[in-house]
Amino acid sequence: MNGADTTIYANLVSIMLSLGLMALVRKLKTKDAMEKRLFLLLLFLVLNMSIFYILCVYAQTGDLPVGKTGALILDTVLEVLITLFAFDWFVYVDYRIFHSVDHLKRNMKVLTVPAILVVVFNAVNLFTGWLFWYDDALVCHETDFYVICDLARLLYFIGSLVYLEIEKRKNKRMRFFSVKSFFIPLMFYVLLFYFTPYATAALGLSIGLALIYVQNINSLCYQDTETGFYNLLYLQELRRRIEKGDYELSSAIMYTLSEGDRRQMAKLIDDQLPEDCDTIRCGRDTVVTLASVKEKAPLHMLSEDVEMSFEEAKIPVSVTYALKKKKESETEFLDRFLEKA
Amino acid sequence: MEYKVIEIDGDNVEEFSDYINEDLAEQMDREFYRGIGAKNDKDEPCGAMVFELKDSESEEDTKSRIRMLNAVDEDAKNAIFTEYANVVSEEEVMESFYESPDKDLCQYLENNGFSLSTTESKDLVITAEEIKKIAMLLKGKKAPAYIESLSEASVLQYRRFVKECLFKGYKGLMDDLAYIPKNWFETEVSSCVITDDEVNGVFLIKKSASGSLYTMLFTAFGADYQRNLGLMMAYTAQKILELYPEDVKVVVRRHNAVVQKLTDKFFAGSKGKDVFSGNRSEG
Repeated sequence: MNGADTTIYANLVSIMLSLGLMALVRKLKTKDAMEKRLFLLLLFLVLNMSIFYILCVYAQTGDLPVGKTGALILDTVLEVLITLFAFDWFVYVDYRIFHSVDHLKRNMKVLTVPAILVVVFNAVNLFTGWLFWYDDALVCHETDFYVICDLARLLYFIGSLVYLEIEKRKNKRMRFFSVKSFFIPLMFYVLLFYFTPYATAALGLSIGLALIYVQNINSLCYQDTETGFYNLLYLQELRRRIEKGDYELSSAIMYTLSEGDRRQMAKLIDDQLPEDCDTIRCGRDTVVTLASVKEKAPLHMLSEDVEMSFEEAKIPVSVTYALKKKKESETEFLDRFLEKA
Repeated sequence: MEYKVIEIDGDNVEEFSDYINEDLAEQMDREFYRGIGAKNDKDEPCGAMVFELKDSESEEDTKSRIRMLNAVDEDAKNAIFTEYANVVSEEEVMESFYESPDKDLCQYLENNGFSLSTTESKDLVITAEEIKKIAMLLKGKKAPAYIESLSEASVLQYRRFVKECLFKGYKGLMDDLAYIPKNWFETEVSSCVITDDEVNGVFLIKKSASGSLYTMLFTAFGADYQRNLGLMMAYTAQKILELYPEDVKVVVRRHNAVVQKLTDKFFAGSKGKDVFSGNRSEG
């Protein structure tokens, strides 16, 4: 098998992987539509990158009779797709961490200027050949400037993760998951792009995205599909963490629906919940919020607001709350409270 | 002379206006403020004491901050103070403390088991010049659109943010933050960060009855929270300059290390007045 064949097969695998992932992600029930859209866009870009890698190979072997200019155009489109992927990657990771559209909008300059520059350089290259060009034998020649720009693009990719790690440290009060997992696609991209003689970077990215998807799915096993809250499996996990001393539990609130739509109940509760609370569906019509707050006032305020919003929606629900007693252990408190469920 | 003692609250505080200044009088409606008054046999007010319970609903030991004690004579003071001991016992207060420039009060407290020392007041009065310097942080421009007056936030948005603060343990100077409505603050001067349709930061200012402005809560969460804190501070400073005369008194109470660090940074060289302070264990 020669280099061209390896490239084609690798990118065919990447196409199938991307298409499969797109189908799975579209079916995913997730609360955050924006996050799902950004991830689908990443997969879409990888899919197109793979297609254009194959087209470039065919153009270079002459199987696709597009000539020198056609090969240059295909290669330029490919470069733009890689740049757009890096841009969307930055946006996706930023959104995953901050969950703030306003924050994205405010940082658009930081995100878009480097990407726009690269796209403009590629567009100008069509006329100047200052990045890469094709000779009459359809062999692609890359200039030193291209190598520099490619390195800049890689640095932009890495830079996005470094920037986010710095933002994470600055915003200590926010709950974060690890930024490190986002290095996975980058690692595969680098390995396959720089350390193999084949144009298989897209395969690297699609494998990386598949691993991110698997990571997301693993966390979904703790989710109750009807309400979107955590399920009893998560409660078991929490109990283990409480026993280990890894989880601080000082208070709990219970909501019990007498009649009505559980999904609507879940939405009304979710609208009132602060961060840093774990809300678990404990029974058919019972949901419990666990928190580390040690005072009555916040619990009272939350239960008042929940009751008010249920009253407005004309859904009968009862809300009770409790604080851990001083001499009570966290596990004893949890057991005592859950007995009511 | 015999005095009878009664509880002072928002309903009867007016009677004791000779003893309780207007700034403290308006606090008597608040959840954790307590007042004890003394009346003579003619039912005339002869003295009053105001104190504030701290950490009374948390796991921490409950403390009492004595805000004032003023009476016609020693007997009235003693009657009030005896009742104070009863209240403190009922409320399970573990420690009483005070900070005051009133030497007579401090002497009285020292005679009743309190320690006494001179110290710098935790209250820092900010001058007009300093306010102008803060406003200049915006470099003459308008604050970004997402920094707005508290009046622009809805009650729902405000309550959601307060809940967020309480669940994270941020209350500023207000143990009773959960019970305080939005319009208790100066809503035009107080600022907030509104992003993604939610309040993500506040700088709450309260105007006292005497016209002084007190900073009550200054916090922000989410992306760019540090930058937003600076923007809110500058925005509020601009509003104070627009809406109040130059001699308005703005008071920052340096109640914890974070606020202390902030004031050291922005008001380096400024000091609080010399006051007397002390405490007494009640447990």
